[in-house]
Amino acid sequence: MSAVHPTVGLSDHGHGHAGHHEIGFVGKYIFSKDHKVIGIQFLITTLLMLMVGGALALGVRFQLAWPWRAMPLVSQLTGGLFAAEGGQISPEFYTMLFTMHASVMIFLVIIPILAGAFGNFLIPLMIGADDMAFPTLNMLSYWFMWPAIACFGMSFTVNGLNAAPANGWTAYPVLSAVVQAAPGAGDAQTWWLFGLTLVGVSSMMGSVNYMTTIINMRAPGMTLFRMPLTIWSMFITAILQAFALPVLTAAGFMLVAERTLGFKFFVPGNLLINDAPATVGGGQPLLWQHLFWFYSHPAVYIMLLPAMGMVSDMLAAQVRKPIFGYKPMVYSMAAIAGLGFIVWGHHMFTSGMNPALGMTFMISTMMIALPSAVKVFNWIGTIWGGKVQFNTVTLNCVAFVSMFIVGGLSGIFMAAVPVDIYFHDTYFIVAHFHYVLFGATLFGCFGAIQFWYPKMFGRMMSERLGKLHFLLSFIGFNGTFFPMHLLGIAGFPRRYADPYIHPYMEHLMPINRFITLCAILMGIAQFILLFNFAFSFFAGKKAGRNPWNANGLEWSAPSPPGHGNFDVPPVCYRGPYEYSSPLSEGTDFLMQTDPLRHTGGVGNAGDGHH
Amino acid sequence: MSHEEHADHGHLYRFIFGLLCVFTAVSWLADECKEYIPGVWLLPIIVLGVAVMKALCVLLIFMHIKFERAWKYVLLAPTTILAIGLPLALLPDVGVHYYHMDVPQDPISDQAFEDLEPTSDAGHSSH
Amino acid sequence: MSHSGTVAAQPPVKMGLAIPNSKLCMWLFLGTEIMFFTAFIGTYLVLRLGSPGWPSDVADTHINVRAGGVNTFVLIFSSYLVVLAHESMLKHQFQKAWKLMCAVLFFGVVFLGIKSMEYKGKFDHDIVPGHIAENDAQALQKLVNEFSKSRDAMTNALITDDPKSEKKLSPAQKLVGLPQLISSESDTTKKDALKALGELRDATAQLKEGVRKDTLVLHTGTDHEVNPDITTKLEKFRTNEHTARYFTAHDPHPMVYGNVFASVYFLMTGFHAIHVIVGMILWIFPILRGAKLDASYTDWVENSGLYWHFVDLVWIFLFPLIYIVEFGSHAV
Ligand code: HEM
Ligand SMILES: [Cu+2]
Repeated sequence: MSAVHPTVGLSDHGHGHAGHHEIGFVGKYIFSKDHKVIGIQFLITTLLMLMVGGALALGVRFQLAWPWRAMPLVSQLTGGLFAAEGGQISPEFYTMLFTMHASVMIFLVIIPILAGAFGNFLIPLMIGADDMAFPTLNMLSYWFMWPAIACFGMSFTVNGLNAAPANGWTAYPVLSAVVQAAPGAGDAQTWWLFGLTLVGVSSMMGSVNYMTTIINMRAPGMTLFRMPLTIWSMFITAILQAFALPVLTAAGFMLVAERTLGFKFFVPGNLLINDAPATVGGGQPLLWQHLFWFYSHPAVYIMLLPAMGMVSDMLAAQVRKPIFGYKPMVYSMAAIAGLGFIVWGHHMFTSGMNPALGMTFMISTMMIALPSAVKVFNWIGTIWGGKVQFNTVTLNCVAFVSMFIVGGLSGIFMAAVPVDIYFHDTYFIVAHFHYVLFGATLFGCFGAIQFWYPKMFGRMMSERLGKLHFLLSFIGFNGTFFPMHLLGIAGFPRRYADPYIHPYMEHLMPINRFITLCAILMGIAQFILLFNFAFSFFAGKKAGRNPWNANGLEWSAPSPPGHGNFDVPPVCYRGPYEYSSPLSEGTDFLMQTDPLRHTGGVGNAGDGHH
Repeated sequence: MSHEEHADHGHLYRFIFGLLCVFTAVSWLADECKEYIPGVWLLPIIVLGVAVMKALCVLLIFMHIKFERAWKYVLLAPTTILAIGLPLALLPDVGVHYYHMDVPQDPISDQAFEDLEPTSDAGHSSH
Repeated sequence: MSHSGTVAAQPPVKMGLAIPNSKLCMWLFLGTEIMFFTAFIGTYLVLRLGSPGWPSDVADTHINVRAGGVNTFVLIFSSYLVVLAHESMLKHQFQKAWKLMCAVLFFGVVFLGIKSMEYKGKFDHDIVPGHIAENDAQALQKLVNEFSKSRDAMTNALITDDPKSEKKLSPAQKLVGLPQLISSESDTTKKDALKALGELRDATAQLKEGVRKDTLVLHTGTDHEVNPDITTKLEKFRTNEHTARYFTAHDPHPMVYGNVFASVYFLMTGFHAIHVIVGMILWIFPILRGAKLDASYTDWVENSGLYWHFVDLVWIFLFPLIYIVEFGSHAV
């Protein structure tokens, strides 16, 4: 790129239309087209959904710890609302609980909190744009979430109060295609599929918008290799979403057509399921599994990459060092995304899939561990010898890295076909994906909330509450999910309402009780987060523009930024990671907007040619 | 924007339209005389080959890809790879089976029709 | 900063591509659309290649190559018009562009018209997913079901419940009294109608008995003709002036893997048709500008054009795949 000249005399472009027209309360806070408001809307919605999903999970945990006992409190308070007979969890209801737990957590929490909340809030700020490329589309992508939530809610209530889809979040046919398969799941499963489609539409609108914004709306001087890793991760995530999601949407339409209109895609002929008449046709159940995982494996990276990017940015700022290996970080994310498209079959090793494919998918899956490892080593390299600030953000980031290591390692175990044949559908899998999804992604999000809260609301979150929340969550998390590895190795199956009917699993009950107690602790800890979030809004310490002395463009905007974001359209002079540079006399950071010193690449991050 | 770069392509467009009509006629003809086309695979190869040619015409000329800058490669390469890769990956599993697939379509499914008798349509088994 | 409208202070260096955001977004969106149809086309290919049988005899499938071919031409021609419309917009010949877009919209309607005629043909022969018998036994059973349904519909229409009595009679219960009703009926047309109903009832019972005892065969002779006993019955009730209104039975046409075939057919052509409709909606906006159409719509026309060409592109592949190719599957 050619040299960039300081932008003098542009001073009132940034809030170009801030003062021109008044926007009413509804336009400003509810149907807002401002990316910051939409991001915060997404954040609050997903935090609420996190609590809903957590409550569902506690139902599951209760049954596994004290099978067939009436739930204390819940059964009395709700008058048996959530339980079949006398406050008990019936087997069907248990199935529904874990199905909806996973669906809520994946589609209404993790995916929207990353792309929807942080993606929306951070992308324009970090690339120096005044908003997204298409603000209305952006607003729609938020307002498509609510019909989706309503559809998921409908799936709970349409067939009476003990109804919900009961096929797991993966919705495998034949059970999900034959209406009579699960009692109570009749229309519920169809509503669930509608909800899924709506979430998909929302993500789709978000992803094309993000890609356009990142490609075309960067501030002058913000070359591709001067973009913060958060932006790279959001960009790559958007690409994943754009190419993987349509396949799931298509498959979802096919399943809806099969359930409601008599189409035949997935159900083979001659099956007798419950009291349904024998099936007719010649569909192929494995087709769904392929199409589903073609989306859902890339989706697990959609659920991780943005957190990886944000952690990279937070970590560099908290240890006052340039990120170790900026370009390898970018390339490894790209490699993860690319490889992520060719590993989906590792979820189907035991499905009766062609063994030749099993071998192929095993090798590609093991390959994906390489770029993941590159990233882990780079984070460790970043921390190494840094001036570590021992605060909530750092704690959460370090938790992210270490929990991702555990989850990644168990992933490699299961990537080997012979091992997976034993581990598949045991609690080992449950441990694996909670380590990556909760341990990595959610801790990353906790850190990101703490880190960018001052930019959102102009106040700092309480450090003391933050640390308490981290500590309890971290202990609760490991207490809950680490023992699940042991359960899995002992052969404890997932998705069983009562595994103890098999005598060889009776002795696992105490571990399960321990797990449930830890899960309750972890659940309670989240109220601290909510409290901190709400409390700091009123009572937090006032924050300046750049409370963390960080380098990104977002820290040159006011806190909170007004409509249009920057008071001067920012110009970017260097990469985002020049901490503790010898060039920055007196301070230990060099903001991307700092024009004083033209520099080559300190820490290899600044040379922006592409 | 990029419009200034476009010269007058009227002639080219007319030519491409003509070409598309000819291609359509070719696949139609291929269908008309399919009895005379030997083998199982020749007809699909002909008509799908023609389809690819037509798609290229539309993509390159009508959709202006020929006149766009290098971004077209970045954008179309991953899509094309995935779009070809997905069916190819499905083929060895769902398309070609390593086990015998021919589930007999009879005895029990006949019951299906019987159970449904006077009220519902035959085969409408999902209700 | 594209939407802020203030052009005064352009930043010195524009980052990114030299195309408008809307066009970039449209291309990215088309990328996602390609994947959407890839899922359908992939599904079609693997289901078709993976099924040991596939209906390909036009007499069974009622696939109409002519209609598909004409529709291909219609879409290609409309695509050509779209190109011309965009050219005219660039040359500021807005009225010419307006007329061309109207023509595009018209051809969109033509396409959908031909498509719906094809669909009607399918429905008339009950080539509908989930309705298709896969073998002779199912076809016979389906025939009996359709006969019974017609019989019941006619019964309910001709013999109404006694308004004074509370209880509703089922068609079967009503039919018990049919002979008395016939003899007591004075109106001759009504009498004939009741007699026809009696015949329909008997025919239904005969078929049912044949199926139950396994004496009824669907095909006779060496050249696989439908059993004349069945065809005459069908013909009789279709032409009889009293029964025709109620008689809904279809010619029995068992098709192995016919349900999967019909499913992918309707899936792919259906979603393509939805895309045609969306494309037409996109054209309506500039058309509504009428005489006020101006250069501000150039990008809109270009982007809608891209979408329209994409819809054309999908059809270019659907046409051979659905209407022409036979992967040597054994027709039944
Ligand atoms: C080092 C990289 C990884 C490898 C090698 C890996 C491997 C695997 C394998 C082989 C399975 C299937 C196990 C089975 O069902 O038998 C699996 C399941 C799963 N993985 Fe990973 N994984 C990796 C990283 C991740 C990440 C980063 C996430 C999410 C952020 C993730 C989320 C999941 C989920 C949700 C499942 C369970 C899906 C289900 O059956 O419900 N994995 N993983
Ligand atoms: Cu996976």
